[in-house]
Amino acid sequence: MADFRAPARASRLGHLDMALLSYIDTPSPIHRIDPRARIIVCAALLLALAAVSRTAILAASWACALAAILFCRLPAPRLLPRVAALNALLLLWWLTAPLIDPERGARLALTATCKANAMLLILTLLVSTIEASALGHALAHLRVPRKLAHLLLFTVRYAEVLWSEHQRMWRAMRARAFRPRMNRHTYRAVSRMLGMLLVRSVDRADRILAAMRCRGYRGEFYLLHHFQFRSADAVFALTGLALAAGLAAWGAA
Amino acid sequence: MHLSEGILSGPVLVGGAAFAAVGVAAGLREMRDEDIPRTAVMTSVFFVASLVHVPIGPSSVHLILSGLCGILLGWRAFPALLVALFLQAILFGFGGLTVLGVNTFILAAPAAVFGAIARGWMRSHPDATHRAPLIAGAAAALAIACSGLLAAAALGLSQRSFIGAAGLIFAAHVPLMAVEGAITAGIAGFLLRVKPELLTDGGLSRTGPRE
Repeated sequence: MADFRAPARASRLGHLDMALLSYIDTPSPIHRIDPRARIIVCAALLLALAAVSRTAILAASWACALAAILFCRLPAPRLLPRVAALNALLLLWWLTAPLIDPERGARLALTATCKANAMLLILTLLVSTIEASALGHALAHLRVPRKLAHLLLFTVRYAEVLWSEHQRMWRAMRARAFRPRMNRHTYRAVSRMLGMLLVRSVDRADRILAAMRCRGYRGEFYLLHHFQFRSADAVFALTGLALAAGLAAWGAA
Repeated sequence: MHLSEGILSGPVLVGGAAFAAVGVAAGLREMRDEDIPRTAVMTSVFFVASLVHVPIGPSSVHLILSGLCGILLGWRAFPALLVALFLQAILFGFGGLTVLGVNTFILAAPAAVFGAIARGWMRSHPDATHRAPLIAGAAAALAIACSGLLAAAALGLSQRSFIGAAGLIFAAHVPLMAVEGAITAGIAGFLLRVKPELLTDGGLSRTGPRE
């Protein structure tokens, strides 16, 4: 049969629409927390964990993060690929570290595995559950440079548009019996497809900018999402920050 | 390509974040408000390209296109790649938040440097359109090679015992260099015929260079 490896791989990695919706279409307790509180707590916890070097604490954090994810019932099928991708990289370390440093290599690899998995789960639980445009707004409210927040909001929008445009072009190529192989033809076809994608998207961006100028755009975006910081959010934020401080103090000792 | 969280040491994380912050600040200063939509387009192209797999030998690699980012965006490659890597971290779980600075620097610094060199060459040789794709491809391949070296260095500096894995990761960049060079050269050739002002003028900004 025809070799449709490339699109198959792409969709296995996560169709973009699906990726954008991955963790936001299943309501759970974590989704009710103010995104700003979640971002701050996530940053604090990750920074604290990055400084921790005790394996037992890291393993406990991994277990706690996993428990929290199970409690919030994040969809496991979408969670597994990212965990697998991380651990494939860590496997490299497991394979090589004991050869280079026979005494401590395996122990260092174990520490890194616990740390990396715990951090990935915390990031997934706290930040991946924020809808992408709400994330842009939350970051803007948190005083991230304005242009950076705008770039994020535009990118979230364009990435979706470009992905569907790419899918359409890819379907058209396949309908004309294009089969990706390792040859000149494939490379030329793929680079022309990406070039065309770029040209079309730049033209689209110019049209959008012109339309926005027509409506009075002068580099200032109105932030539409305004979040309400309720007492539950304050409790969550304080607990999270206390946890992070505890981790930092306890783990570094 | 992406270094994941939890494996780099504190000094490497802080150093990478500091260097990346300088680059991002420079990029943001260069980026005017009307440049944001076109910059976002390049960020999205980078994002989509990372889902496009190109066959090589018995397996396939996914594209990075950091070199193209550098050629088209210059310093703005820093904020563009920062946003793209941030989105990849939260949407796909590649990389992470504490390594965001290191990963941004690893990709964006070589891209900005070799991109500037390639664009300078194209501007001073406006008639040599047959050689311009070659230059763009070489810049992209060199950018990937440097990114691979930086990634390996970040790992090696963090943990001596990670040197073996760092070597393997750099070795994995060699086929990627060839693919990136070929694809970027192809894209540059295509752009020169279809929309040459993207390469010869101010890249992806509207009204000429501002350097």
